[in-house]
Amino acid sequence: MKQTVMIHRTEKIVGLEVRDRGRHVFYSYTFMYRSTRGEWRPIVRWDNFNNNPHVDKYDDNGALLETKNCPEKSLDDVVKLASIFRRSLLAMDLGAL
Amino acid sequence: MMKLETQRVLGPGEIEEERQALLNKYDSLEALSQKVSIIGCTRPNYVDDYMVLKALSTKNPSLKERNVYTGSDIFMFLTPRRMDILDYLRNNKFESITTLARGLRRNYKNVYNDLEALEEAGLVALKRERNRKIPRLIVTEIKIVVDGGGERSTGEAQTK
Repeated sequence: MKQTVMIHRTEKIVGLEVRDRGRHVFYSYTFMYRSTRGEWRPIVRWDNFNNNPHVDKYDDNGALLETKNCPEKSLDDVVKLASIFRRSLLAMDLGAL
Repeated sequence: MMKLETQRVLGPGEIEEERQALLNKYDSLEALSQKVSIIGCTRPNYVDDYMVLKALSTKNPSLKERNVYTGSDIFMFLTPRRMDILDYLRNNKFESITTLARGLRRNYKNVYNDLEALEEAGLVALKRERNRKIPRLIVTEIKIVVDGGGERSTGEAQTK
């Protein structure tokens, strides 16, 4: 399932969940913002690629800044975090959340 | 909090189109797998595309799309006139925006602008064909959810 949750006109979460025979095998939730040029850019992304739940931070150009292991997340968890902290997430220790 | 949810279940033809588009972009699942193993999460789109292509390459794949709009922006895309367009598209097929505008007895430019907003919201597809765009309703469900408790359906349409 592909999901998009608009947090604000300039902020959204793009989610992808893959199930195999009812079992959740992959998720990715990317918190993105719309630049002044109108392009959507990733800021923070949670995923469990290779069965390794982690969180990535990206800079203004979309380049990977940091990767940290973190507990598995659901879309609801990510929507709550993004709605409360919004772009301040970039300055937080997300591995501990 | 109030939120507006739309859901769409893709048909077999649309799933195959999505799979072909990814194959055209990356050549093969194996080629994309190699790229992903090298670059990993430095390019998150590659990882997502790989997982989608892998899932769509299995037997009897299914694909759903869900969009959620929260807060004061929930009606940004759904004005009364745009609701009219959705309702009209639910019951009729149009071969161009001109015929839709004529059916609605509205100005072409205004209908065009509304369709672009509805396309951005993921409610309508504008299929390009030669020099025209064919509007199609693509959502199967539109819901307003209040505090995650009671749900009120504003409209429901089946994709053909």
